[in-house]
Amino acid sequence: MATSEHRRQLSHILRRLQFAPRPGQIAELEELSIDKAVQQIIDSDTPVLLEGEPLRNLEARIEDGDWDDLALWYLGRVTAADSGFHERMVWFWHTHLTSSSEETRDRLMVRQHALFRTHALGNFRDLLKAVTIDGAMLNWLDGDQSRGEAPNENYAREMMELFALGPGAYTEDDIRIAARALSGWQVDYETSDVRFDPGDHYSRPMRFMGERRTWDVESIVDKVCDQPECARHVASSLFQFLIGTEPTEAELDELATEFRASNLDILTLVQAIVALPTFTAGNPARARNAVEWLVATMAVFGPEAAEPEYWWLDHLAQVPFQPPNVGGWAKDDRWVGASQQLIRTSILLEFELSDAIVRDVEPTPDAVLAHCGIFDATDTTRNAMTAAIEAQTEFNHGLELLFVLALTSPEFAHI
Amino acid sequence: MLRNMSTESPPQSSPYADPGFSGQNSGSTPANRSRRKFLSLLAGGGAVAGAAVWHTSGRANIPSSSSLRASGHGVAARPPATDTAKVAPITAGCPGERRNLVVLELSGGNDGLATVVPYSDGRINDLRPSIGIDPEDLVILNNEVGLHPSLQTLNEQGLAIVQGVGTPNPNGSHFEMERRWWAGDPEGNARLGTGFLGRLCDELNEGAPITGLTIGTGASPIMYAATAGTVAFTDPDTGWYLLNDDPWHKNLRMGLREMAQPADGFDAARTGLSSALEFGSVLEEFQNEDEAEDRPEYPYADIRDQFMFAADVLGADAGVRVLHIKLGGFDTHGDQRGDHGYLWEQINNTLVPFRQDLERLGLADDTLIATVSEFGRRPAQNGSGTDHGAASMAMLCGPVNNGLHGEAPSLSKLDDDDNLRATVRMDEYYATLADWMGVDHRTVLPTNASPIEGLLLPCKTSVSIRSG
Repeated sequence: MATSEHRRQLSHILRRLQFAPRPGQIAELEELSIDKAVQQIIDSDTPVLLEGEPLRNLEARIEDGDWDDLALWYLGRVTAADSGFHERMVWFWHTHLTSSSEETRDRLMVRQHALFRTHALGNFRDLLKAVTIDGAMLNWLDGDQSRGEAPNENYAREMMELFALGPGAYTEDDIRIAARALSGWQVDYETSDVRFDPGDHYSRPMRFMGERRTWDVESIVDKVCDQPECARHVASSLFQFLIGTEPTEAELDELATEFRASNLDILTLVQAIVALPTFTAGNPARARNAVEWLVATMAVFGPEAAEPEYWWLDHLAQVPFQPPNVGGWAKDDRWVGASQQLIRTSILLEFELSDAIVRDVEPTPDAVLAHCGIFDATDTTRNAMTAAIEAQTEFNHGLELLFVLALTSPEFAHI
Repeated sequence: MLRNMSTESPPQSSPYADPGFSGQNSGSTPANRSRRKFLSLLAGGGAVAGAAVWHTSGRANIPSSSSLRASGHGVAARPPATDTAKVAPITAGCPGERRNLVVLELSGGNDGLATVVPYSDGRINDLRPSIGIDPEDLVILNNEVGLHPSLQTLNEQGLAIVQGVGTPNPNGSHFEMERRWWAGDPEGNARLGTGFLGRLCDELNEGAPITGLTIGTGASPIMYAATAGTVAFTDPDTGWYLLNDDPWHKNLRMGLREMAQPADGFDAARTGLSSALEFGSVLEEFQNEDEAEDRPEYPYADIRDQFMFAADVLGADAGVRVLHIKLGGFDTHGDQRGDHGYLWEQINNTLVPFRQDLERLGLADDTLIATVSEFGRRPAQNGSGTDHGAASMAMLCGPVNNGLHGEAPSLSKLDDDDNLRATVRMDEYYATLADWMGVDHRTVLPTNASPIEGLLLPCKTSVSIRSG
């Protein structure tokens, strides 16, 4: 029998580890302690990979289809009944190792997406090496135009600043050297294959981060990953994604140490983060970005409630596969600003209440909040919902009113 | 659906539809669904066929960029997109008390050297052997520089260029430099929580619900204000629920207002709710300007709808004084000739009718348009494009002295990163904009900078300057 405090904690960890609870999942987890529930969520999830023929079919379908297919396909994926912790990690890598379909072909983005699905809980070195020579990334950050004699610095810079090390952990010279070392890769836009032309690669010895040798993708990425800043930067990024605040120095030291000791194994880092007291005990600390809010909203209404539309994502200012720039999407309170509120409320009005909801959910603030996974509503929110339902004399439309308010609430907007 | 809680009939589409446009977003937009057109509540306006299209990504919608790459689309001399007759200059007079600022953000880092080309300096040919622009194609300004050909008609109408705008210790990171420009912090060490435009709004705040508005893209730190209401919104149909008068929507607004009370934490979220509700009063002031017969024609461009809406907002006189519109795509590491040229073509084709629109509304003297960009590009080309640079230039239209200002950055004395050294500082540029708005620049900038002399019209420009 779960207490309401236990339900609150469960809901809290689910918001952090998944886009939304799966149907029936809360009941399953209610029997477990919170720590065991965390492990259950992580361990019982079967990653859905994209390889071989299904990958090729998807590439072809997306390439031949409409321009909104890719984003809508992704919405379908993350709202599917099997969407769990792995999906959340894939989303993290997509927001961290950015590329955009606005600057490259959709089929290349599909292939990059497959790469994230493969490596999401694997090894960060392997992930970074793979993404460095990924077709979409080569296109997006101009690696495919980078020749030994005229190296393009774009990828080298962003790789160090954003993906792996963080600002200040490298010099302009490091960027120039790395750019030379990463040269020689080209994308075949017909087949989406990537190839390396040694003739276009800068192969003379250079000094990079204290070591003199000839360099290539493998050795550059390894050297970058060897830097202590790498473990810290990646650990901090994932911590902020899952928990919402920045880690303390002590927390970051601990995470970076464990991550480095595991040779940058991502699952090890995840386990280290969820083991921190602040993971289960802390308060909701960051605003859900638009996709996170939308997917959670769609889960509340259920699968038949509305056909998702591209314009929702567009106006929410977060279209999957189209980050606004290489730094990805904002990570701050912008997601609960006036502009978001305007759009989110507009989108909420597009949904229908299912027969099941009308039948099973009492038109009271607490019942609706519980259905939305909120067990710690503030008085301000609860009173607002009470005032509205009391003024609403047409009874069943009152349920709609409560849902719009619950899904607009600050509580629902944060994880 | 929940939307149909109202008893009134469903709406038609946005006034910004261009029936001729069959671009990307035409398939799935609010206009295609049963949505209220809020303007029709007030104006009883008729339906306009087509789709509401706002490019909220903020990036230039380069039409099938593969075709631009493939065709090697260059910047050959070509006729302006408007007709071949010359565009009439708009001679701005002296602005009155209620001045408006429209900031056009060129996101990605605009290449100043390709916008204002120092054609007479032989070095430019060495630096840009293949991506340079032929002097024969330029709009010659004097015996040293010429404008990119895309700007021909805007130049005829009137524009000013401030050359060499940048910062003393430039940085090659988009994020670092955007942060500085948004915050108005040239050295990058001021740690401000507000944006330059947000602080302007705080000073200009007369109690209107919304003083600053970002149109077409999401909320930007440039507009973060301490006290004034600032909002970003992506579509003119957003927020119709704020106007609907039936009981259900009234109860919804009441519930939202209660939930927005500043209590029980979640301050940012509750403030956001509250500002969203206030936005309704801005929308209520709106007139359906689209039906004015003498409204100029705005050709297709990525920022077309945003500027049309800007004209309407300013014409409605609802208290919005500072507007911000973003155009992305300037990070031209490759295919610069085509991409950069097309972006400026869109700017030209939008600002020309926008200024004509302002003139029609009697606002041409009172509305200053100014560009901002996080940095310029490196003088030496790299492949078919350029890497991140430092100093660039700014372009202004409106009550300014048309022509060149500032000093062209030197092509021979580059900085240690082989980038252009700024001759005008960011804070000098911003100080000029602030003073023009009637705000003492010392209250909105962390550094002490003097405004640029001679950029503004020789009027009494220090109209009721407010000090903090």
